[in-house]
Amino acid sequence: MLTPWFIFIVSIGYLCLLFAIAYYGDSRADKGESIVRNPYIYSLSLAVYCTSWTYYGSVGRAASGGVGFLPIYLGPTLMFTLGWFVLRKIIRISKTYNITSIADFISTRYGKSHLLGGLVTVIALVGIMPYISLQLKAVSTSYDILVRYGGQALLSPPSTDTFLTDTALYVALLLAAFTILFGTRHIDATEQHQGMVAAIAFESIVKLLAFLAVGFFVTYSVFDGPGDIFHQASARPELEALFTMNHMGDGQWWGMTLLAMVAIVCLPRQFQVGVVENMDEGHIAKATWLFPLYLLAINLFVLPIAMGGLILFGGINIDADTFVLAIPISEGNAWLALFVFIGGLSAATGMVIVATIAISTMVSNDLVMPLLLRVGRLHLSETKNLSGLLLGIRRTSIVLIVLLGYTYFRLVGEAYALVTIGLVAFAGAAQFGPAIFGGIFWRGGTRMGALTGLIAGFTVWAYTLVLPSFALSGWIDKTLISVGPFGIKLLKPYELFGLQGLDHITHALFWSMLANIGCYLLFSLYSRPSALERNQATLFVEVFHQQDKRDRDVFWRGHAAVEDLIALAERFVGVERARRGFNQYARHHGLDLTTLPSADADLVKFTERLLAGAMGGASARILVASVVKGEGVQVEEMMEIVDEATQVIEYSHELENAHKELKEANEQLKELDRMKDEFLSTITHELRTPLTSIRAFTEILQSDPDIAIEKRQKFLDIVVKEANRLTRLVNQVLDLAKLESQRFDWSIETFDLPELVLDGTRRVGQLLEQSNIALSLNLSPGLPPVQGDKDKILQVVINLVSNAQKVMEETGGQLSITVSKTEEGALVTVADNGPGIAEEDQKLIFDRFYQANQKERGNPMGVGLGLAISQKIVEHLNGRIWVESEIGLGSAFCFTLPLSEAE
Amino acid sequence: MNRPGPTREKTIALFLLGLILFNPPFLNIFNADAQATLFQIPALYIYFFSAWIFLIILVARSAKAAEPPKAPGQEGTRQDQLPRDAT
Repeated sequence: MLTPWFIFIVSIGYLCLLFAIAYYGDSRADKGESIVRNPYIYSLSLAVYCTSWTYYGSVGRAASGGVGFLPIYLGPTLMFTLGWFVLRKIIRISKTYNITSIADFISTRYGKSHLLGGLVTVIALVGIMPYISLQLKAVSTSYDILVRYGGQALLSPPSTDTFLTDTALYVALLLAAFTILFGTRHIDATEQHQGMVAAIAFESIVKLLAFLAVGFFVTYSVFDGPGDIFHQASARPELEALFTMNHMGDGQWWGMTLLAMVAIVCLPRQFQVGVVENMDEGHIAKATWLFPLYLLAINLFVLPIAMGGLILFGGINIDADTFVLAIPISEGNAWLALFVFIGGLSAATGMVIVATIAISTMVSNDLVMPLLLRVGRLHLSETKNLSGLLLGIRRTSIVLIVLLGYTYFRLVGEAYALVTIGLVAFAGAAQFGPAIFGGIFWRGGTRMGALTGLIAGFTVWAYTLVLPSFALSGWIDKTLISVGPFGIKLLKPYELFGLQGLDHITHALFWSMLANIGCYLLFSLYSRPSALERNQATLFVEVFHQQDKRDRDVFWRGHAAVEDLIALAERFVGVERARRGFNQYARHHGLDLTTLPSADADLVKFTERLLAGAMGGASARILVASVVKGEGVQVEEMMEIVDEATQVIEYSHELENAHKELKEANEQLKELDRMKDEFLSTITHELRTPLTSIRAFTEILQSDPDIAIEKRQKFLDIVVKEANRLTRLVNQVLDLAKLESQRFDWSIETFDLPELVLDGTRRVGQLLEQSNIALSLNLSPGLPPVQGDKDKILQVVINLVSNAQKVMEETGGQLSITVSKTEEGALVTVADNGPGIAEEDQKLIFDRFYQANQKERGNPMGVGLGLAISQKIVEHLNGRIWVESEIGLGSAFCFTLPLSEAE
Repeated sequence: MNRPGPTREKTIALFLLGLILFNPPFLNIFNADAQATLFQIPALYIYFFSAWIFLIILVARSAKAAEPPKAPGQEGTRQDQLPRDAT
């Protein structure tokens, strides 16, 4: 029933169905009605991770290692729990800078380095070969089995012959043609291949359904539920051994998990569907659990199928990798076998299509175009339209990549089980890990670090995994593995430097990652990045903080003619697309490009991004630089600013604080200035009053010689009194100025305070008597001596007493002076029963400008500068001065002085 | 949870939980005895798939907070969209 022709036609029919879906998806996308813009299609497209390696190989691995296949799916599950932060960041960066591939990503991150982009492309190319050969092997083997045994019982194991290898070649060519058909219809690789994504999502459904179908068939039709399978298996010791994980060491388990975690991001095809083809970063939210759920579903029946196969084919030598297909065939269910074959075809074609599209983009953008630009720029610039050339490069590289995979399959593929080949490819892709994860989270990673890390990791990977695989296939002498190159034991590829006890993959992973991460860190720390590198580092690491500033990615100085830019874009992305792009730009910015005298930096950047989408960031930069006249790309000297963006935020905080302090200081200064003005006006006023009266009286005396002698005498008394007042005032001003500028001469000594107070009151005693003021003294004679400047304290006492005298001059009253001892030291209180001071004035009274206010209120208190000076003196001598007062009851001025330390 | 997106702390906590659940030495607990079965299915297998689905449910719950309220016309994340090819 399953004749080769029938199978062939079904296969071709299935591929045509895929193409129809892709075509439909593309045409809907062109109308703006995307069918892939939702998180479910996105999650399904991610399932391109499950290749025929999963489809056939998991069962094979489970049959020999129990749960050992699971880390390959648990790793991605773990990475996707972090998806919202890791994957979303990569997507945001890629969308912002029109990044087209993993090579473009790494090259753009590390200073738009052509060298790095080319290196990544080469590594990816080498790494992808075993993987593609694996898919070819799976398809051709499954085809062969189906053709040979279709509809019959499985009698003998399949053998390899020329027919089989021919199948692989046909499959390879068919897949290449199919990939070209809808993978390279467009030139702009950032423009997502929506049709392809739709087809891949469809394939993911098919392979899942096919696998679940065979799983149900084995578990519930061939056997009586999973319990039955495992129960039968437990009867055989060699199968029961698979119930544990004793086949894998702890190190190997961890190694596989970490490897898969890195691979789910770093495999070129995963980067393609997960990042480049992503339509909306919000889709990641659902994908963080939908994709792991898919992985769980497709692995659910792996163990039952593996156990079932081992039970069924117990005695026959059948490759466990083919159980999925072999069981339905041996049970005579041909239609299910065909469905399983189609599922496997889905898994293989999906991988090959996406991977070759991804790699061909890298080859054209990061390898061939840069070389062409470098070698023959003149020749290129003469060519009118280059978008055709780009497409040509891409199509050729697709064919070459698939054929390389075929060649690897012919040379090496037969020596390995599916799972091992896949792991070799994983370990190759994992070499991108340090450069990518370091690049998005660590600003310090440099081009030199990435370059050396990649080279070191790649070399070790090739030496410890690829080279021995050639040896095992007989292409190199096998003694390389058994005794090491040139007989050097320490360099044995599977036991490098004598490291034993690990399986080959974990061993290679350990050494390659040690070399890779080690070099990356070391050279990043000890190399000096260029300004452009530092700029790109900041843009990548801080992508979420810089959405508004993204156009600062390159500093273009100088100008370019608009028509030059348009002509450049037309040549590389095609006339129509370029026109449309520029028109859209013009509309969006409200510009008329035909009248614009020259392109501004924004338009130049737009052109660069447009080109980057077609041919990668590094090439786009060189092309645009060739058109921009004048200084062109000026990066070096300006970049420090952006580079230090994080510090800038800190600085700005500091600046803010400093600004606040300055503002406060300024306020204080202003206040002081205002006070100085007030002081001057007060002083002038004070000086003018006595001067006016002196002038008035002397003028009278001068103009009128006939004044009576008594009257003359009276006038002269006033003149003398006013002159004294003037002298006093000037002395006070001088004192205050000296005090404030701290040029006062202090002579500190120990003296008896009561005695000094008594001396002071004696000096003003006559005044008090004249004013009818009764004085009562309470001087506590036993008081210990105090420390201070005797003359200055005397001045304070006189000041206070004469103030009291002044307030009670008219009314007379009671003045009481007390000297006592308190905790603070000696306390002098000068209390009057005058009018008192309002509470709000009690603090201001020591202000040297206080008097002016008092005068305005008609307060008769002519304190002058006395209190201000007293305060300065007392405070200088470590004392305190204050007033206690109540309106109508009088005031008490108090001050303290420290007692002599000798006491 | 009104904040957009799962919190960084929660995400890292889930990641660490998964790392512990799916790796030795924690795994070795279920590895001790090949005879241990539940419904005749080996305990280790049961453990793997139930822990796996458990983690997926936790991630799904935390991811729910990440889904922004639907706003028409705001789906695309690309600013300055480049034109689509009509060919």
